Amino acid sequence: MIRTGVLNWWWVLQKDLRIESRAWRVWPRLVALGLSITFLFGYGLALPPSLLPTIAGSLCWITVCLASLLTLSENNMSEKDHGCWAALSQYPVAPSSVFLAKLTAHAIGLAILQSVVAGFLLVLWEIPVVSPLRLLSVMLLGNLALSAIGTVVGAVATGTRNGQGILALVLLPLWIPVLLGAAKATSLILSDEDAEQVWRWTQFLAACATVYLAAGIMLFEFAMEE
Amino acid sequence: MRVDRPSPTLIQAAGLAHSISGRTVLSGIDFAMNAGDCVLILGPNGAGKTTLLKCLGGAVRLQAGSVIVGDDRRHSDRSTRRMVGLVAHESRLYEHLTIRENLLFAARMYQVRRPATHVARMLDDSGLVHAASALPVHLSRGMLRRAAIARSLVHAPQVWLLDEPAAGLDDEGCRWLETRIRRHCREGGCCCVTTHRRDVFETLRARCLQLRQGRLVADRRQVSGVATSGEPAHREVA
Repeated sequence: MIRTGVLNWWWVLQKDLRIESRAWRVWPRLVALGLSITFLFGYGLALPPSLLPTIAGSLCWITVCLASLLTLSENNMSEKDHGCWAALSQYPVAPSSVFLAKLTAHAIGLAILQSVVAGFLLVLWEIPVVSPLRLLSVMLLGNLALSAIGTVVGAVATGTRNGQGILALVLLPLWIPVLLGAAKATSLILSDEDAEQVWRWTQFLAACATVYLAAGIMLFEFAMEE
Repeated sequence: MRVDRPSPTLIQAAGLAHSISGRTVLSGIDFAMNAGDCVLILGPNGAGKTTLLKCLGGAVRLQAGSVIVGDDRRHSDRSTRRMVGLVAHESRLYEHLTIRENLLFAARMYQVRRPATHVARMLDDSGLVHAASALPVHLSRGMLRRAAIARSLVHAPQVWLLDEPAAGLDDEGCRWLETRIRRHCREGGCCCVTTHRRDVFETLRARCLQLRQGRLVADRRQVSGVATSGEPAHREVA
């Protein structure tokens, strides 16, 4: 059963990645939007050097949030076209496999965006990264939490007429705790401050990711219904 | 002395009712199909034909009544979905995947054994070998319809639910479809087709159900071809 679940996860993920590699619907937009926002803020704000690490953390996650929000509706467009979403919901596969595949595809896009945005800010503002592993774990947990709930709400929006309108309304309140924790933890890591605080925020992010992941696995079946 | 055993019931609906936005689309539908049955569902636009097929195929959550597929199993169960193939209005093909990739994906989702071999056979059977590497957007409407039918039936289900399957098919395509339906019913499957064009499927000699405003108003056996007026002649079978 686990083997079948893993195989189904892989087939759906492979299909999504293949479609994205041919259509270039989401990832180029994500990166373009992310870079534009970062570039505007990065050059537009004349900040004192001491504030840069703190601002970089928040700016990175604001960019991820906005770019992700604007492209999330595009994620499932290939499914919505020609009734493919209805077909996907009728296959005899566990909805959790489909959910995890969709989540992985979205998380890969967000990881590309995070790498570009964080890399750009670190180079632009010449911020040294003292704890790369901590930074990586915060980025991963934040990504996982945002992608998990984004995938569920994105699925609801796909299966609903005029569903795109509800995306921001539903997502933002659910994303705020994650964004708050991730921005705080990233800023603390980049400022090389208080490891104890960083650990607490990382635990908070892990809790958010676990709750959203569990909720996604349980709710995705209903989210897929048209 | 030969004793005819009754054919097993493959799908059975009882007391089906469905509403959309407060409007009753189906009401009090009782209907069953046995192995070897071919049923045409006829009716004007808005009669509830597509909704009935969606209810039978598990594409919508049942609001009232029940659908049993095979041996007393609920149609919403994942295992019973392999028994049903629903050809919908839309092609349900991913536009950035080739026809072969689309069929292969569907076959894998249905856990078909040796999916590549099976898909190659389906492509051959559907006359799509030369179009296997093409994207859906590059196919004619008729070929797209064949590909959509092949995708929906890739897992060799016993119960075929075809919603206006002849739409977009030329005469040869219609004959291909009729032959496939006849072969499927002969091999112990059953088939339910919604159509506006009874003449397309006249040689099937199917059982005809007339739907009007969400209710089954007639259950007849198609016994002869098209009458001179263009309206197919039907005779009720006692």
